[in-house]
Amino acid sequence: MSLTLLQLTWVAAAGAGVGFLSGMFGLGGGFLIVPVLHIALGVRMELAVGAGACQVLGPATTSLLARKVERSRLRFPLTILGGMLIGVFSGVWCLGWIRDFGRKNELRIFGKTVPPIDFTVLGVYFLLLLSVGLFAVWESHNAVQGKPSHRFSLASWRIPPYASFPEFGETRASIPLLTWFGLVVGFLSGFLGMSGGLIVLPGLIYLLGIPTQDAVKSSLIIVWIIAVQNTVAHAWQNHIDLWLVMALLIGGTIGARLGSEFGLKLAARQLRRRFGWLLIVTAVLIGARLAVMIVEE
Amino acid sequence: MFFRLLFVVACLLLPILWGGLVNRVYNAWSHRADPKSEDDAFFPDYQI
Repeated sequence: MSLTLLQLTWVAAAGAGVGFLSGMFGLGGGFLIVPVLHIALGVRMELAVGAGACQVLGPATTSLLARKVERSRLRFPLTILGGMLIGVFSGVWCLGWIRDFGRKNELRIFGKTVPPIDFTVLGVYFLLLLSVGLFAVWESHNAVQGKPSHRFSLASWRIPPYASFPEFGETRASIPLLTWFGLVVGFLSGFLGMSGGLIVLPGLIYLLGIPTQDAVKSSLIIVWIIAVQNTVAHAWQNHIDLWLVMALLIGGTIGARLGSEFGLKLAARQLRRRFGWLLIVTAVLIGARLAVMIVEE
Repeated sequence: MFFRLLFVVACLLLPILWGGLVNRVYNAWSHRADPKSEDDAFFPDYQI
């Protein structure tokens, strides 16, 4: 698929729009790249996923360079590295398998033929964004009413062997549990072509009970590692168009800069709620696209 | 095989170099004395 200069300009503009939201909310935005590229600009799903996965490495590198990463901070990401590695490569393999399946077979839903790769990727996006969005709005609502935040601490699950993380206080966690967490995050990142930050940060805070400040620092390292694995896997599968990536990087950088100026004027609680609504609105739009896909001839 | 490996390396290098460049430019623009701030909860200029 070779893109014209005009198409690349549209991609850069879309990247700027996504970057603006990304800069405004301080976290998230990468999850918008694939739906925008595929639904609004008509980029083939595997290329949209590949470009989304590769471009994350740019902002992830900037974020990592902008922070001091102590050696002790690497302990947690390295513990879940194995799980993430298997997860990312499984996700990318799964995407490639569905792409090849769609070339030879038809997927029929309610009697209508739909492209398997588009339907599966958008379907997973729909479910993921809707659930994380509803959770973010619910958490924000609780915060406004002064209720304590809910933590479903998986850290209390006793599945040996265990690892200690003194950098998070006295946290002691089950290694198999952390590995499965890495596996799920890696799989979704590889399959959907996103940074994983959308799942990693809430996962670290609400599932593993890690303090927010520590979770932010660890998530930056985890996202960078996922981005490297994702890029290698998608490049190997020939899912990456470097011109597309370049356009997204340029547009995203400009948009994020403008968005961060705007975001500083909003309170953190407002941001969390609006971020939640952004996820829900995106999920509804994806749902509408799925419905059109099923209904139209 | 060789060209595929070369392509993988290019896909890794492009965003990493871009990310490094953006970091340098932002540091130069904001005239940070300490380009790596430990205190910020979020790096406000550019996020994922």
